[in-house]
Amino acid sequence: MDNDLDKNKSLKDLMEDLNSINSVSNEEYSAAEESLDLVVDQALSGIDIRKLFPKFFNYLLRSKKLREQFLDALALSGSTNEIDNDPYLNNLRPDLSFLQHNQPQVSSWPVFLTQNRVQIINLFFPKQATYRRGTSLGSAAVYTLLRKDFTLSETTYSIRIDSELSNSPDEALITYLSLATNNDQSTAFPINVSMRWGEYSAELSLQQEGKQKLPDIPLADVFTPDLSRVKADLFLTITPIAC
Amino acid sequence: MDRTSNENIIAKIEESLSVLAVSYGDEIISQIKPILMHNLAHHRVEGFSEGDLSRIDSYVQIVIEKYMSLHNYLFALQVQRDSLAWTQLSKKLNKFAYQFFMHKNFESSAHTYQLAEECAIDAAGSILAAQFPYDIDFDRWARRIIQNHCLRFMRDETRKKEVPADKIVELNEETDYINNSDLVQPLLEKELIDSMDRAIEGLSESRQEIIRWRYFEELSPAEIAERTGKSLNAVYGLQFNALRELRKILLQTGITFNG
Repeated sequence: MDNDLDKNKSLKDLMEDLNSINSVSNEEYSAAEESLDLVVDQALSGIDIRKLFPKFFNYLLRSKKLREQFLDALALSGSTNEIDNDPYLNNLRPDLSFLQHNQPQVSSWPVFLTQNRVQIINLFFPKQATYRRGTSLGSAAVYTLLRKDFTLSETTYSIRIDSELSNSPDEALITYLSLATNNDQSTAFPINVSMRWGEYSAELSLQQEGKQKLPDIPLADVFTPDLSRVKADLFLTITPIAC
Repeated sequence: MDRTSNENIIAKIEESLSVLAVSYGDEIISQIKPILMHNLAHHRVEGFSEGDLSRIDSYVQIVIEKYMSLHNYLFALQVQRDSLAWTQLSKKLNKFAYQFFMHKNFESSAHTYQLAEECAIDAAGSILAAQFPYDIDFDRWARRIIQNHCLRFMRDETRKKEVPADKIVELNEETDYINNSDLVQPLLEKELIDSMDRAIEGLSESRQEIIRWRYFEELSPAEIAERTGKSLNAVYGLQFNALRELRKILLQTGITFNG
């Protein structure tokens, strides 16, 4: 009797998997592909994907492309021992020129950076759902308002402003500014950063490179009252205090 | 994922973060939260939890730990663009790309080295701009990026060589299997069992074995890999192929499937 029950359960599992083999939509494929490396990680640690990630396993049965990626990732997860002594690869001097791309050269302080309204609107209200889901304000949860690099006196500066929506009743963007350089000996610090965006303005002094919180940006200062449009371009001015 | 599930996940993340704030401090938690929200928007939290909210605690814990161990490295790569870190990573990316092409049976030649280099440079550009999810080892993530670049390269090349772009017709790989209505022929259990037994017997020996081990003995792929000495990807590959062939045999005997 028990044997019959076991066999029925096995057959049921098998039929379920056989029923699953079907085409997969692009949306389903994208969602599964996003977590491919996570599932590969679990598979490599000995987890049975069919049991712990049944939804993903189902996608694997349905998508040849995803199966191929999954099997390749498993196959290539081991060491690179067999090519570690490859003379060509070992003597290769990597081409790092891509690090210099999109880095405007500026000749002197102060440096002015801008993010225009259209770029910001696309950030908050993308025409196509950036993350393949809702496009209302708050759907992304973290927004990189500005990410720019520039080179001055042979030092590259990278600046980035990230924000997230606060949970407080007076809605605002909690905002952080990061500034880094590729040169430990940079003499530019301390640096003053001034940000202006719509009715919002703030100043910050950075003694060294790193991340610092800006005063929160009230949504009313930068968005129209119905929160559907951005009011203005964002301007940033960077000046060494010694200047 | 519907809105309610999303809200449930966010509530569970908040709950985990407030518990973990006691051990890790508010500063770390404030830096982790945007990463978690980003991962949520990119289906990674959903992919990890598969609807099981109890997995969220471990997911949040993984992100915190990876953030603490990898944040400085990512900062050096993406913000400082540290050339030493990039030199080492680029060499690794070249190896990953070359290993990929070898796996795909490319010849070991100067041309393949060059392809690997090109894909590695493209992948490096992606890594420079991408947001690291902090829920996985860096190398695994980098491997996935390079794998995608190499695959894209191969697909582009295949298209260019074989078929003019205007002649490409997207064929559904599962054409054989779709357009079958729901299980329209309710079978008596015994009939189904008999058909299944016969269909399994129609598989090659190795495919019969994998079906037996996976479904009737409930062995995990890792256990089968250990038992047979096969690699994990070979075991999964064998299972996928066995299922597809089994389905084909059953279809030929008149059994139809959902879809």
